Amino acid sequence: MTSILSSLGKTIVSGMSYIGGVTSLFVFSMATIFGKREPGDKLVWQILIKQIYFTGVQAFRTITPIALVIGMLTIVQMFVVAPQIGAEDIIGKVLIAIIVRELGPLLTAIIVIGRSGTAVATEIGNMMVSDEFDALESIGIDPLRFIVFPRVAGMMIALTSLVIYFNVVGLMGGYFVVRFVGVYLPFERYFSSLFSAMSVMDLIVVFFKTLFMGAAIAVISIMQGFRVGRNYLMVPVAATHSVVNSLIAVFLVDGIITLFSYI
Amino acid sequence: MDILTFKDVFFSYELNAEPILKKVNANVKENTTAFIIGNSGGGKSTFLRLAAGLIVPDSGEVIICGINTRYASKPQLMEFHKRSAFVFQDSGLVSNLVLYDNLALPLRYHTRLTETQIKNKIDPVIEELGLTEHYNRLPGQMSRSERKLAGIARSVIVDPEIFFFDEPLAGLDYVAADKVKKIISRLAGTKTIIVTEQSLSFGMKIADLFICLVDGEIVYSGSPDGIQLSEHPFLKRLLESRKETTTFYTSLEKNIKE
Repeated sequence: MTSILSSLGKTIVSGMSYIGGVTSLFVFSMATIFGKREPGDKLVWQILIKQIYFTGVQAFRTITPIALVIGMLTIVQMFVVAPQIGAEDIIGKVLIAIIVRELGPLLTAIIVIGRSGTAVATEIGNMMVSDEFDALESIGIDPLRFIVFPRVAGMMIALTSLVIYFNVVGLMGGYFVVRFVGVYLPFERYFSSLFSAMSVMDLIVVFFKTLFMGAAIAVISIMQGFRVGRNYLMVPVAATHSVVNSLIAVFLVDGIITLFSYI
Repeated sequence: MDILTFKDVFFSYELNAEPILKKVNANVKENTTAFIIGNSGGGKSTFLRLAAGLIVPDSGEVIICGINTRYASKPQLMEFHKRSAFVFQDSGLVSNLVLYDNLALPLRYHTRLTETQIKNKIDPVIEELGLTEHYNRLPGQMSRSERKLAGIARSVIVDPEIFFFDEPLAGLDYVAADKVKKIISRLAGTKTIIVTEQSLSFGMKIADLFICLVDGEIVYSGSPDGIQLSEHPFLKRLLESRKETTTFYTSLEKNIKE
């Protein structure tokens, strides 16, 4: 019994210290941007833009088919099931809740974890092994500002943009796919039910979800990269752990924000 | 004037672990060339990282250019880093930047020099070190020797007050080692240079000061001449191996000539 309690205690303590570490990494990296201006700050913005390109633009072709299929399936299911239970009036509301508020952010975040989270964890891990962080510091460049900040901010911006794209493709593209395969669905009825169901609150909730999810994926991946230390063999382990921990974080963020939005 | 002071410094990388440096005291004067020698794992690189302010001591004080690294703020340390250069064992180049961008990085980040001015500073150094053909190559596409030379090039380009070289000759071929020796010899006397090395040979030619660290403790600190008189077993062994190496190379040279 004592050993169970002791291992539970250790798990809780290590979990709390991990959350503390990840939070500090986020806060300190964001704070660096308010520090002294350097002539080389334009390099930091260039890295930020590259990060948005890698995480956001390059993910479009992965996101597009997934958003189309999810949109199509959800729309078909709703228009088949809703009339059977007399719930045709809430079709728009349900689509907004399922696609815009839940599946959009969640599925996009999962894709970003698989594509960019692992890439960041591996990149940072390799940089740790080859002393690049110390080397940057030794030439007076703060790695938090030069390496961490653009990756965190880039991922937050990219994820938010991708979620908007996913939702638009899911709802609009899904509709056209449904029409294309021959299901009769009046255009006006569909879009009027969507727009009348969407509230400002929905948009605020999605915005905060994507920001927090993007930040969580980035800092967790970077943190796992840091943990590689000087051991090459730990690089793939960092990638694996970044996926697992980011998934847990993303689902927790989703759950917590959704719950708070209904309180 | 002392530019570097170690006062009763203890350091370990892990909590409650055996310290890597144990009560280390040392002084290095301005424009001195100091060689840190010692056994493998004896704390040479740790000494160098502490001296460069990349890590801080667990206890004791490291004062570099008047900055006590233990109590210095991050901006203070960053300002010091701009005035110094650290050459890492494996170069420390940024892996996703090509050679030219790596060398230009500190200049682009800290100065308002134009691209032409930056190029004018970089090109002669690249040429001197024979790295011209690697101009647009990533560090991963270069050999270890070339990466190391590039690390040295980056340190020279920023023209710092203090140089820290972590085993600059380790793993280099004969030609590359010769280039590095020439550069360090040229800087000696005009800049403060702190070098870690496994062997005595190079240091005996240019060092003003030798600090010998064995298992985290300083067993010798003084002039190169004084080493000959030291009774410490490690230094005696080092001197013997130097004699053997010198004899070997002299006979090899003689054979080649014959």
